[in-house]
Amino acid sequence: MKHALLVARHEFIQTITQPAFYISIMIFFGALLLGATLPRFIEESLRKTTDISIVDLSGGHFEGMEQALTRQSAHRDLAEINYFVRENLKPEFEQAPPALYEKSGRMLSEDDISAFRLKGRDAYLQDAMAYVVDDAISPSAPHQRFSIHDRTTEFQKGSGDASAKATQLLNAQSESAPDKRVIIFIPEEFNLAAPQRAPVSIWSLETLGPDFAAGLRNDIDDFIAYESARQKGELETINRFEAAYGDVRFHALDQEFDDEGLREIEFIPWLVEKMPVGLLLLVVILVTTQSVMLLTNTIEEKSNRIVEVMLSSMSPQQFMMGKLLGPMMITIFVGLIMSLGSTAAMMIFTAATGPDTTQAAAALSTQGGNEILSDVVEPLLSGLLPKIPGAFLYFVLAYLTFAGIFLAIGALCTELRQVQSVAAPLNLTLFGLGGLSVIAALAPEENLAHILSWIPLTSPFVMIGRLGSDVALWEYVGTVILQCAVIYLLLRTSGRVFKQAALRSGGLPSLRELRHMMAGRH
Amino acid sequence: MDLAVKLSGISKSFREKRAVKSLDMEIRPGEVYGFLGPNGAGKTTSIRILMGILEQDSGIREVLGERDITRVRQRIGYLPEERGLYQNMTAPALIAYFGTLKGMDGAYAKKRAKTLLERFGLDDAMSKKIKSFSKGMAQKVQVLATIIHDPDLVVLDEPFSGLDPVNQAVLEDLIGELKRNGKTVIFSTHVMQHAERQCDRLHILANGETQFMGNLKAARKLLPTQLELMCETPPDEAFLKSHGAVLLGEEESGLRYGIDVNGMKVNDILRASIDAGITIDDVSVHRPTLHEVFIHLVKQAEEAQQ
Repeated sequence: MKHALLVARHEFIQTITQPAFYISIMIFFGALLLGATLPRFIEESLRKTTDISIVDLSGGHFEGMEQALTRQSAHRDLAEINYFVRENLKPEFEQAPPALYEKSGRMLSEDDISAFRLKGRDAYLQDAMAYVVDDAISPSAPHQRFSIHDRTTEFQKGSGDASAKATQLLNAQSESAPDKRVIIFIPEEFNLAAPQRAPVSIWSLETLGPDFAAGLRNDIDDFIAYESARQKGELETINRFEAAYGDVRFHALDQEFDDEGLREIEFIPWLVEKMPVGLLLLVVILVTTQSVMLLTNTIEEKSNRIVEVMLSSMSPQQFMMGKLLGPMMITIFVGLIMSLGSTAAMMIFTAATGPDTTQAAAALSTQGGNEILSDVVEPLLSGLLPKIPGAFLYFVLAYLTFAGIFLAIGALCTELRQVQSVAAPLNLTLFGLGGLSVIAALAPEENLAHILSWIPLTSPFVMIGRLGSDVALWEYVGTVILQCAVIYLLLRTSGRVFKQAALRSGGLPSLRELRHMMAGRH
Repeated sequence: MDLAVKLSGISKSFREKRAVKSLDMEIRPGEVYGFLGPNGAGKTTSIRILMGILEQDSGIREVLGERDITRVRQRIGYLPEERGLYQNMTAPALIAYFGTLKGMDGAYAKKRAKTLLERFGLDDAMSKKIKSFSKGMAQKVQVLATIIHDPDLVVLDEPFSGLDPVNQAVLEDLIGELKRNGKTVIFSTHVMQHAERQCDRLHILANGETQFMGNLKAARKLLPTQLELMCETPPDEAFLKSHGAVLLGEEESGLRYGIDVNGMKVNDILRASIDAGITIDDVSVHRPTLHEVFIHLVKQAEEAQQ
């Protein structure tokens, strides 16, 4: 075993000290980053900016208005909270009348949003079901990227009546080339305390779409409601809301926000449920790539005759075990880097750009951040962690099954060209088996999954995919025992072939020769 | 005294072809043993059997007193005929790796690898990857990887092939040093001069069968010493017949005849020549070289096979 470990260590070090190894890892992360950011980048690039000038002749309302405009995207956040509540209070929802539950995809009305903001968390929780089935937020509520400026002074410097001054201001804005130019005009006599407030008006050079105008009106209403609540002494409630919302990063509010919000919130249970299938795919890819690497390495060592030196120091079986263990160590190493790197990247990326649902969760939580752990992180960890050892075990079984076969084939070949000609069908076969296993794993209780779980070439893959479902203990134990027995026989046969073929030259052996090799009689 | 290597009745076939037939070999410790033979004679197969890389179909193999080769692998150094190296490794790392495979401690193997490289003039190439080495440098590395663990038995399959004369001399010196240190060395070669200079005993193989086994002197005795006479005029028929003289060639100065000495004294032959009235211009005694013996034996084996 010592020799096998020495060979494995050598293979491992040789691979991970190659620049190409790190280049391939970087390419993986590069592709991951590109895949994750490119659509969002394109979306951001295509999003148009609206230049909003606030002309506050009343004085002292610019900041409040600016905040209100920014808070517009809170619609989106509220929608996410809605989903969060729905997910976390699912039992309550399931007790609700079916008709209501069916309509749960509907969103909050504007009134509900205002009510929520003023009522605060407890009231919202109480009324959560009602919010869900109430009228939806307008799906066409404007999705904005605002550039907000206080242009009161510029406005005042203009000539003519208010309309003429506004036109001048709007024309001057064209320099910065915003797609939409808007002035929110707060008149001098605007007073929140007054029973009949002078109206805040919206001016624009071109006709605003109804949705956009409605959205702005809502923002202004929000501003007024917010400021009024503040003046009425409801600051405590408002502050709680603000504390929760102050740092919330908002997604753009667009027509697809319903689905997107749902996706974000449902990601965790989805991840927990589908992760075994993801692990299955990862294992298929890793087993395939490493098996092919094993093939090419073997032929390389055969062709440069290192194999003969190795066989003068150890038995062919020891050498073969070393050759098997080395790539397995590499695979585990790569798998670890990729898994940890992907998780870290996902967390960083989500924190930087995604909807901060954890903040939203905090708003609903009496214990603040601790609740996040129990609601978000714990389900993820408790769902995934128990599957890791199982996935690792089945990965090792899958790897040993296929790598043993590939290694023996590599030993039979004498030229790289022969390897290339056999590698393609072998790869296809492996991917085919992987694909079949994925199909089976997606319906883990169906007959196909049960049958494939007991076929040695698919068993490890399918069993990884079934880790998320209710598999009887006897099935786990039975498949592992069967697979171990098959691996023992496979490696024994591969060992015989490897021993006799490692120094072989010439063409591929005939079937008769191969049969004799497998029987150890060549 | 225990033998370093003892092969008895070793036979090996590949498909229908018998590569080695009833090979016997006994090598004493501290001996330098030359294994000679034409291509396809079965040298490499015999060496692989000796090393335990191949298993014989029949016969007994005993190396360093053990029939189970796995027990003595760490005491053997092996340089195969077709050699390869890990191209992306540095020389010290590679030599040390082969040392660890032979049971050496990793740190000590690295230290010894560096010492050997310095001694063999490769200290400048320590940090370079082997892929940047010349063929001669790479072969030196291979040889050093063979002996890093100070083996008792060193088996070198065609060690001189591909080496320039300078490096051949370096390798000869190394073999000499191994012998002085009491190591047993077996090497196969096509170049008879190396065998003549280095070997205590020789083993000539052809068609998988032993053609000769013994020391150089015994090998030379397989062919007769020849007396060569340069005569102005042809000797008479009676002289030619009685002494078995054969015409070797016709030159400007006369005719060159060869007479096998065959245990006769050169003096007697010369006297008989003079008595026969032969005018001798030049006389030389030609002792058979190992090369001639080798060619003779191989031809003989081929004829026997036909």
